[in-house]
Amino acid sequence: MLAEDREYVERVLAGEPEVFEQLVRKYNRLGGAIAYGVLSDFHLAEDVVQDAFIRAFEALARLKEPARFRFWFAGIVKRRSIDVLRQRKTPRMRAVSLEAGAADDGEGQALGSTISSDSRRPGQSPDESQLDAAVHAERRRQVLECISGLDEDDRIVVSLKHMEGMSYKEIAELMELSVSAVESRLFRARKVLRKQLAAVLKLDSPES
Amino acid sequence: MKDPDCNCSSEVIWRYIDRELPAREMAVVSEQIRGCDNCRSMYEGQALLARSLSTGFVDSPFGESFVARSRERFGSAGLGESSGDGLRTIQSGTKLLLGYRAFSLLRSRRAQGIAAMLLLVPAMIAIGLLVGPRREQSLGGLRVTGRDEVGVRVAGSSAEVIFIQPQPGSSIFQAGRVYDVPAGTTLSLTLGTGAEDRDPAARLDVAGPARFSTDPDCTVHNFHGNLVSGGLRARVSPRGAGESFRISSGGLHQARVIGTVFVLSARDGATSLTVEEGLVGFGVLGETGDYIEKTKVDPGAGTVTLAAAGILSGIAPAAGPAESGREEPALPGSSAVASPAADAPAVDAPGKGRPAAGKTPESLRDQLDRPANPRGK
Repeated sequence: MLAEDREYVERVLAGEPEVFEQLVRKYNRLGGAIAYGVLSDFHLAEDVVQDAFIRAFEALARLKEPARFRFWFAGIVKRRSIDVLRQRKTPRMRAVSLEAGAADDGEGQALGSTISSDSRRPGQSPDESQLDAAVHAERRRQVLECISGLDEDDRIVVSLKHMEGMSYKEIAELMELSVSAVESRLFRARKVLRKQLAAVLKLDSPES
Repeated sequence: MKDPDCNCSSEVIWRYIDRELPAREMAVVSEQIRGCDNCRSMYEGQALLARSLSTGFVDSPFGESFVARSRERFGSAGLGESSGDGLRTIQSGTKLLLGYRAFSLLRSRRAQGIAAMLLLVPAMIAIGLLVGPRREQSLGGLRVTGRDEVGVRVAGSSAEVIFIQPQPGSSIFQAGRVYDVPAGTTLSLTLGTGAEDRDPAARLDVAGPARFSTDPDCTVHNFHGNLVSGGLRARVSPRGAGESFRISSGGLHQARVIGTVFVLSARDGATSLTVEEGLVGFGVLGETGDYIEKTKVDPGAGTVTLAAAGILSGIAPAAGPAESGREEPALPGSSAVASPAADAPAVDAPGKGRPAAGKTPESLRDQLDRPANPRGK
């Protein structure tokens, strides 16, 4: 992975700027998880990540260790996110409201055919399917709202874990924490989330 | 029934769900979950929370849609050339860099956004025009059996998750997808004309907990899958000239098939292979993804494990049954083939410490050979 990043960076610097798209493709989710963790707002996070890529491109020649692009880029995203948060001058933002249906902005087209054939259970009418979709959208909104209530560092860890699917070790490297610190943050955050989402998810008993 | 010796903690269950335990401990916890009501209840609650947290992010604007939307915005704003001439705008890295410098002088966010589109997206459009839209093709059919639903998303994206419920009917098996199979669930993939194909090119049974993905460019005749974690059993028809069937694991190892039945398991960077019929090439993937064959494995070789560095860490030829107390514990619905690389001795004595050939992947084979057991009851 690191060797691949080095190659991409070197190719961009050698006159193949289009290769930068590979880095955009590879790290936009990582940047998104960090920016969302700080800002609790997908739209702001998207702006920040776009901006961070521009800044990264601009400063690419100054990157001393091209293989460490991932960590360097993550730092740019975090700093930009904090700047944006300060500019907003609000102590904490709430999650963006995701109305049922509003979430369908053209994303998921690639899976469209599969969704249409798989998401409806046998014997389920289109109305029931739409109702299911609305229920799921509402549940996602509630989940995001609860995540937005966590401390910033816990939000970032949760986003990296559940949005980007990173391992404890990868998160630890990225956030310059120990693996056990990442694990305890994650454990604490999930405990809080479980308590808040117990009714929504119909969880029987609190986690011991 | 609650196990009187139950000492599972929430932390351990989370490590299990996050696949952060060594393979041996994964197996122990898995057995505990299977046998103890208390642990199972804890596991089900935490697994539901984990799934809900992940699906909370499905509407995020990131992943492939982030790249694609940039192209769309650029096109709809009429800011760039939509022909192959778009390449002209990115012919020179210097020109692009100058553009970025100009960008940094812009102060309003909207202006920056437009400038970003002007500068970044032409490259993306040019590549898109040259390559054309990627359209992953159907590879055959899939079916889910067992307890839980299988999560499916587009490879390279964390968003756009759908769930396929265990049901008798079949769905489409597509290239360029990532399948997350939970414990107690089996994903059966039929490579060929469909799930009901009586003579498929291959059949793969992926037993959860596992993650399996297919390469976006693969086809029925040149199949390339990636076993990220967990275990699978493959039955592959003999390949014709120029055809291939490859399964990589964790980006490190690869099994190349000549026409055979085999069981593959990936854990903690180690990959184990047991061949039931035929012959399988087994090797490592170099930095550039090139395949370097380390050995050919046949049924007599027992279980062969490649550690992260690509070293053969153990070959157990067919021998007597494994000694009591040292046999690999089984994961529910997963493979008991591999010893974790960190735990495994460099070379095991035949018949000791590793199950014998023909018996090795006990839980996986047992589960996969067994008819589906809805809700695990």
